[in-house]
Amino acid sequence: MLVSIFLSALAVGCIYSLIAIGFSLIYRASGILDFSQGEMTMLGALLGWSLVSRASFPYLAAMAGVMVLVGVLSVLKQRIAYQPIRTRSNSPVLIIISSIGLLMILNQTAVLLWGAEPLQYPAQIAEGGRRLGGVWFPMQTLWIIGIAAVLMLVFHLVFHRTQFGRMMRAVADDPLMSRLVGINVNHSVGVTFLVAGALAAAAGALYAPIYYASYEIGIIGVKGFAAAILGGYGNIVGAMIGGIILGQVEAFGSTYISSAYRDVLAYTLLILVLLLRPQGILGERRRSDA
Amino acid sequence: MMEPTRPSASRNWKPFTVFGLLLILLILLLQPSLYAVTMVNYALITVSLAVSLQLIFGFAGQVSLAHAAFFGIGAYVSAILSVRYGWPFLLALPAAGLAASLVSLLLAPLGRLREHYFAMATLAFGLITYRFFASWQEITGGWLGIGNIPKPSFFGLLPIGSARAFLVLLAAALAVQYVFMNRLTSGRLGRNFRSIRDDEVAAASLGIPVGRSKMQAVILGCFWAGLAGSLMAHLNGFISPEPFSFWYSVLLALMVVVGGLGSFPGAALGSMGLTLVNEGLKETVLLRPILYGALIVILMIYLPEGLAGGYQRLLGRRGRGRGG
Repeated sequence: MLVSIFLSALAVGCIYSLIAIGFSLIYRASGILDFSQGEMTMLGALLGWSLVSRASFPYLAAMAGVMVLVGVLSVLKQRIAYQPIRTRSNSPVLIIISSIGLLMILNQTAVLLWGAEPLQYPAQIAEGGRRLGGVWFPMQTLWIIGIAAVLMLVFHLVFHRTQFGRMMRAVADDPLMSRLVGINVNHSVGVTFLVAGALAAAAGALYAPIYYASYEIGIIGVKGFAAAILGGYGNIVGAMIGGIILGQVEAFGSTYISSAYRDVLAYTLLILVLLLRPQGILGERRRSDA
Repeated sequence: MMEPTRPSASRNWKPFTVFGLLLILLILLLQPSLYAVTMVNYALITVSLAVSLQLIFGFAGQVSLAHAAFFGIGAYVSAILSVRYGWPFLLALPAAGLAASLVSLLLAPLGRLREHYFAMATLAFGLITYRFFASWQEITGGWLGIGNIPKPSFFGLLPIGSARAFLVLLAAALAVQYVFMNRLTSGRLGRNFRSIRDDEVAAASLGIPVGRSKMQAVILGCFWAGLAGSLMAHLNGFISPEPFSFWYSVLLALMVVVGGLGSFPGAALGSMGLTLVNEGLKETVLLRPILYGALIVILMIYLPEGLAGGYQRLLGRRGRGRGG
């Protein structure tokens, strides 16, 4: 019982982690809080549904597809709605409001394209499972954890081992200095949105098969943000850990306290962390000019 | 050159504005359409909410996405007190405001943090409250809501039974609120707010209590949202969770943004304008959010100071043109 709660919570936690990485990455690279980040997850889930059930893509190909599509959309979003504000005033309030505008547009567009009814994925990611030492290990849960772990590992390697990653980290740490040494900062911010969008979309494609795909699931972005804050806003490793902790708190809390208020747990945790320890568990990584 | 003349010019306009508003009120009371009166009643409550949100938004510089939640807390507290416990309207109304501002004490410390944190925390708070409104059946009645909320009366002497009587009550309440907000923001607190808005670091270095001023704005804004909730509950006679959702908070934010951050007349005009647009776009409910979203993005890019700011910029440009 305990192990199976832990396992399914780990799968959900990894999904939160993927969204949280996007929040922290964008914050470090551009100082932006993007409210429409959860809608990227929502689009990942719905586009994934279309690719799997309408275009009969295999699941993994559909996932790669939505990562590319939503990643590009995320870059466009930055170009159209945030970049002009960043160059004019760079006011965080204006960017926050603009991102809420985007949230409205994307959310309603999803209703128009996919309807308001929740959509079920035609098949599970993987069927069946294994029994090991009296505990049932469903394959689907293991696959989600596996895919999310691979994505995070690849991201980690790109971020820390390649020239590309070095550029992204430089801009995140000090945009002005990066500009002085000849890095194209706008280009780098664009790449950051591409990566954040792709990870969020992957999270959606992983989440929907265990629940459902619908225009409403964009609200998961709040949980992704809660995970990012929990680990320390702007801290990438913290985002991963924060997501996993949040998944566990939510699962065990809803089992032992109240399942009707399952979502309330995550939201309350967000507010409590901000009230008591706004720098999170591992500490906040801020841009030096923010 | 325009600068010194503008305040006195606006002061000369004040009696005309007041007179004009009273005239509109009189016309509304005398014209036959009950539908129009009811529409205006709801619009006045919306204006009241936009004006109180302006205090948080435009003066504390914080994006609140929980204004509909505080509106709802006021409405539920007032409804529960008057339906279950038989409180008279005159006690339930201030109780609603106090309850909303007491709850806002939880969030007010976050007003000191950066905009990101406050915005997301208020979003989370709005979602929590909405869940409680919908799920805490014993207290809120769940999705069925609370009905039979009595019409307000003053000591049993002055019953506010008709829509027209309500119009007078709401207009009076809004006038009181407007004067309160204006006094508040033109006094010392208002000076603090403006200097914080212009340069937070400089304001702090002058000894202005930045964090405390922001917290005060949040608490006072929520107090007035609670009062508006109470008025709404008694006007409607029935409340359920729907009007207190995240989307209504966003719509209120849009009204303030359209009107212009930091301007109370802007917030009032923005909310009236948007209420009309909302009514006009009734047939295209599915496209409405997309249009609003696009409007928000475009405004933030090209006219971040809203219509009020755009108007002032126009005046300034014309003045300069005349001077040169």
